[in-house]
Amino acid sequence: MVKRTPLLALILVVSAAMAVLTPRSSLGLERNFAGSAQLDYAFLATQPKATPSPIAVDRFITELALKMAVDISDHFSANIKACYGCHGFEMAMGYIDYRVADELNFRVGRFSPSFGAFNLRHDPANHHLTDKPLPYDMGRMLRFEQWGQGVLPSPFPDNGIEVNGTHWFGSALELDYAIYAITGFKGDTGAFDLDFQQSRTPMYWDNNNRPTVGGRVATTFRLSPVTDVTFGASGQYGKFDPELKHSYAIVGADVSFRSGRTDLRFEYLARRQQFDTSNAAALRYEVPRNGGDFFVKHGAYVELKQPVTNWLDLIGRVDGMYREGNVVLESPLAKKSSVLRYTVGTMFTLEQGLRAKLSTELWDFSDVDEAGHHTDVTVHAALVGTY
Amino acid sequence: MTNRATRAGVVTCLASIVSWFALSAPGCHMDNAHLEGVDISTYPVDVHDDYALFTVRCSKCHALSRALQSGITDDAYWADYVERMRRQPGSGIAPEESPRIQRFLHYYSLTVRARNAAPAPEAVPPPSAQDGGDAW
Repeated sequence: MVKRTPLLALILVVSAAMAVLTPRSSLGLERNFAGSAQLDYAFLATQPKATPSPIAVDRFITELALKMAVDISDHFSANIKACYGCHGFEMAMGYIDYRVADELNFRVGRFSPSFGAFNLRHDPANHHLTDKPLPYDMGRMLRFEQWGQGVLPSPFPDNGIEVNGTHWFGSALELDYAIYAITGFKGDTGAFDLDFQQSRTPMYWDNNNRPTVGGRVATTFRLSPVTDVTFGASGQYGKFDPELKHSYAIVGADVSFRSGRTDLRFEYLARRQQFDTSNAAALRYEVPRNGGDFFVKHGAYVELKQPVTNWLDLIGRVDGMYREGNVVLESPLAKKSSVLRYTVGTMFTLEQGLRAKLSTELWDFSDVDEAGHHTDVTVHAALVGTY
Repeated sequence: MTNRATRAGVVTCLASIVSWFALSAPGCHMDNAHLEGVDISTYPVDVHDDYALFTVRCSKCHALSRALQSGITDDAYWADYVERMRRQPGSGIAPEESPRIQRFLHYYSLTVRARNAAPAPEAVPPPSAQDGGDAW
C-alpha cells in the first residue's frame, strides 16, 4: 500500500486544488464534449462454423467513448474520457495538463503514454479500418489468445506523469518529445508473458514498487504547404512482476508521409519479454543456459489511405508479426512463428460524422490451427459515428 | 494458401470494388459534394484557402466533423481549441497557421449561428465579408 500512496496522494491533492482554485465563472466556459461509437461485425469467411474462442470473430463488437476536455486557464486543462468495449467500461483518460510553454507541459493522472504514431488515432472514429494494426491489436486478431495480442495493445492507459512538449523551428520543422514514468504493465510471479487484462483491470495501482519509464521523440518536416513527413522513435522499459525479477522493453520507429489528404504510414515495434524459466517442464523447448529466458515479438504495418471523393476513402494495409523464442507447452506456436495480414477497405461518409467501413482481410499464419488452416479470410462491416 | 481462402479473398475484394463502383454511379447517392466538409461557396474568397488549410491539417488525426460538430461558435473558444490541437504531437500545424484555421472557423460559426437562429434552413443568410470583421 505504501508504494502507491505518493501517486494517489498527488492526484487527490491536485484534484482538490483544481476544485478550490478554479474560478466559479470558468466552470461553464470552454468545456468540450466529444465521443464516438462503432459497431463492427467481423465474419470469418473461411470458417463460418468456427467457435469464437480460440479463433475469435463472427460477432458484433461495440466500442463507445465519451470525452470531456476543460480549459480552466491558458495553462491549465483537464481531460476525462470513459470507454466501453470488450472489457466493459474503462477509464481511458483522467488527467490534468499544466503547460508552462509549448515546449514544457506536465501531464499527471491516467493517460496513454506517448508511444508510436498510431495511438493518437486509436479511437475507431479516427482510423479508417475497423480494427487496429496487428502490432497494436487488442484482442481483435485471429488467434489472439495464442499470440497474446499485439506487441503493444492500444490504447494503453496508465497512471503516472509525463513531461512533453513541441517546438517549431520556423515553419518547416516541428520537434515533439515526451518522457514519462508510469505504473507499467503487470504480470504474476512466474508469468510467461505480460497480463494485459490484469494491467487494465481495477485495482489500477502498481503490482511492484518500480515505475516503468519511457519516452518518444518525433520530428515533422514540411516539404510543401500540403506535404509533410514525420519520423518518430519510442521506447519503454519496466519490470512487470511483483518480485522485480523480469523485465520488458518495447521499442518502436515510425514514418508518416502525408500529401494533401493522402496518408502513407509505416510503423515497426518490438518487445523483448523476459519470463520465468524455473519450471522448464512447462516450456516446449529446452532452455539454454544463457539467453533462454526471453522471447521477442516484432510487429509492423504499412498503410495507405487515399481519398477518392469527399465521401469515399480507399485503404490498403499490410501488417504482420514475428515471434521468436520459447513457448509454453500447450501453445500452438513454434519457436519461430509469424502472421501476415493483407487488408483492403473502403470508408464511406454517409453524412457528416457518420461513416460506414467495409474491409476484407487475408491472413497467412506460419502455423496451422485446429482446422488445419494456414490462411483465413475475414470480412468486416462497421458503422461509426462521432459526436 | 488454400484454394478456398483464395476464392473467398477474391470474391470479397471484388464485392468491395463492385460496391464502390455502384455507389459511384451518377444518381445513385445523395448530394454528397460536401459530406466530409462544408459548402464554402458563400464564404469570402480569402477564407477559401483557410478552409483548404483546415481540411488538410485537421483531417490528419480525425474526421473534420470532430471540429464542425463540436457545437463551438465562440471565437475565443475556437482559439483555445485550435491551439490545443496545434500542440498535439505531430499535428503539423505551424504557429502561424493557427490564426488562419481560426479565421475559417469564425466564418463557419457565423453560418452555424445563423442556421440556429433562422426559422427554416432556406432562410439562412449567407455570411458576407464584413460579418464579424476583425473581431474574431
